[in-house]
Amino acid sequence: MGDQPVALVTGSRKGIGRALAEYFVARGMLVEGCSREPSEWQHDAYTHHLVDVADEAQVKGMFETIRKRHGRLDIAVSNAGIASMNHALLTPVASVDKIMETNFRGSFLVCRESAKLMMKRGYGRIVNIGSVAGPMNLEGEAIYASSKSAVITLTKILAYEFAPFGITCNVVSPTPTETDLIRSVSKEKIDNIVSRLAIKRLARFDDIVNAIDFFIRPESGYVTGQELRLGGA
Amino acid sequence: MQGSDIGRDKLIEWIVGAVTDFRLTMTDDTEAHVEETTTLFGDEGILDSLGLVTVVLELEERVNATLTIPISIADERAISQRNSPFRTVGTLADYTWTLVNGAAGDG
Repeated sequence: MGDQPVALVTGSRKGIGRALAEYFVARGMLVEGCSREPSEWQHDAYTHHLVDVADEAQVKGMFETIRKRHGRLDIAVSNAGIASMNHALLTPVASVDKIMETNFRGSFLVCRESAKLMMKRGYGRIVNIGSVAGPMNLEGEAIYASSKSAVITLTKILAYEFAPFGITCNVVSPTPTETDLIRSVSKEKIDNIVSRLAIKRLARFDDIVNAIDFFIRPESGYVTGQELRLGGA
Repeated sequence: MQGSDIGRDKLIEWIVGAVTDFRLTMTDDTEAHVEETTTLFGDEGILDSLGLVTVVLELEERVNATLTIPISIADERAISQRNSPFRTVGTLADYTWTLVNGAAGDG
C-alpha cells in the first residue's frame, strides 16, 4: 500500500471507460476496472474485475479486493452503462428493468461503496457519467434518458451527503460519442442530435476525459454536485 | 470464522471504540466517555447523522473482516424497526449480534 493514487473505472473493457483507464495509468495511477466480460487490454498498473455493477454482492466483493490490495481509493468513475433505443410503446418492461439496473442501481452501488472506502482518508473524487439525452428530450430514448437523469439527481444529492467526508461527487454528460452504445442508432438520428448542439460534432474520448480530469483534480475540492454537459447541450 | 465467535462484549468494545474515535476526531471532546447505556442517536444522542454513519460503517467493516459472509448493519430490517437498533451502544450491539449469528447460520 503506497502513495500512488488509486482509481476505479467501471465499464473499462472498451470505449470511454477504457480510454479513461488508460489515461489514469499514463498519469501514474494504479487503476482498477471492471466489466461483465474480460478486458480487451492489459497493463501492469491495471487490474480487471469481472463484475456486473447491478449485482450488489459482486460490487461489494470488488471493493473488498480493492480495500485489501490498496487500503484506499482516490477516484471512482461510474461509467458502465447500457442503452436500448426504442419507442416507448415498443419497449418491453424487461428492457426498462435492465437499463435502470445497470445505469442507475449500478451507479448507486459504485458511489456508495466508493464513499465507504474514501471516507477513511477523508478524501475522494467520484464522477458519474450522465447523458445529454435527458435535457435534450430525445425521442426513442425515454428509458435510457430517464436512467441517466436519475444518475444526475443521485449525483447532486450524494454531493451533499458525501461532502462532510471530503468526497466530491460530480457528473459529466457526454453528447453522442463514437462507441458501441450508438452503433444501433441511425445516422439520420445522430445527425439530428448533433445539429441541435452548439458544437456540431460527435464527442471524442479526449473531450470526456478532459472534463473528468477537471473534476478529479485535488484542486477541485470545492467543486461538487455539478453536471458538466459537453458540446453546449 | 463463525458468527458466534464474536461475543456481545466484543461488539460493545468495537462500538465504544468507534464512537470515541469519532467524537475525539470530529468534536475535540477529550472528555468523551462512552459505555453500553450511552444514547447514540435521537433525543440526547451523542452522535449526529454523520457520526452514526461513520460508526455503523466502522463496525460493519470490523465485523465483516472476521466473517466469510459479509453483513449489512444498515439494512431494511434495521431502518423499519419501531425501536431503532441505533438508539444506544447496547441496542446496536444486540442488533449486530443477531445479524452476525444469522450470517453464521446461513453459512
